Amino acid sequence: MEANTYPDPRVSRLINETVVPVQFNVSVDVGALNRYHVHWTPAFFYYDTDDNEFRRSFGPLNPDQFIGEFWLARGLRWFSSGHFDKSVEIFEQALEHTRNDPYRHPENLYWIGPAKFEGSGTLEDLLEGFKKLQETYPDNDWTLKSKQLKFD
Amino acid sequence: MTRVTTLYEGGREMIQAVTWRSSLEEARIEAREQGKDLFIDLYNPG
Repeated sequence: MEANTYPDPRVSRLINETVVPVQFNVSVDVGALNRYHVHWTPAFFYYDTDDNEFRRSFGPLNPDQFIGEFWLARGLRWFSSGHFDKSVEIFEQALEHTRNDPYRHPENLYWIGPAKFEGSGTLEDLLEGFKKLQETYPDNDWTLKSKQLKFD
Repeated sequence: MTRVTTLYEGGREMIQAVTWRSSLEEARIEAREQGKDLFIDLYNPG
């Protein structure tokens, strides 16, 4: 990460412009592992300033993976805090950054449906979002989740 | 403490490296002032 990912200007710009980054060296600050309830590094966390955690990730990421992961974290930050229109905006922008990532692009497509649905209350928004996921990735785990809707 | 590192190429400032903070409390205050969120990285250089 230090050698390849953080020095990437796309990564450093994204971090510096959108969040305040904090770094703990766990070989020096051994308590950090307990504070965040982890036993593996590298570990990344996206928080708001009220100590709400919105996403965590483990293991090294190349610059493209990191950028996609970061955009998903930002989308979930707004979705999980109830700012659905903002989350739709972020998730749709994220598509540009996840589209070549077979791990994150399906998740990105998945969340657009719930984000639109929670904002509008319109079931068609949810189904339309899931439809794009199902057409693009028919066998993905996120697709299977999207098919487990139950209607009362 | 804020560590700011600027990379240079050809004598011209090109890239602002990630400006990591080491104090969570100070970072939280700064984030509130700027309306930003926090990104936390735990790493082991060994």
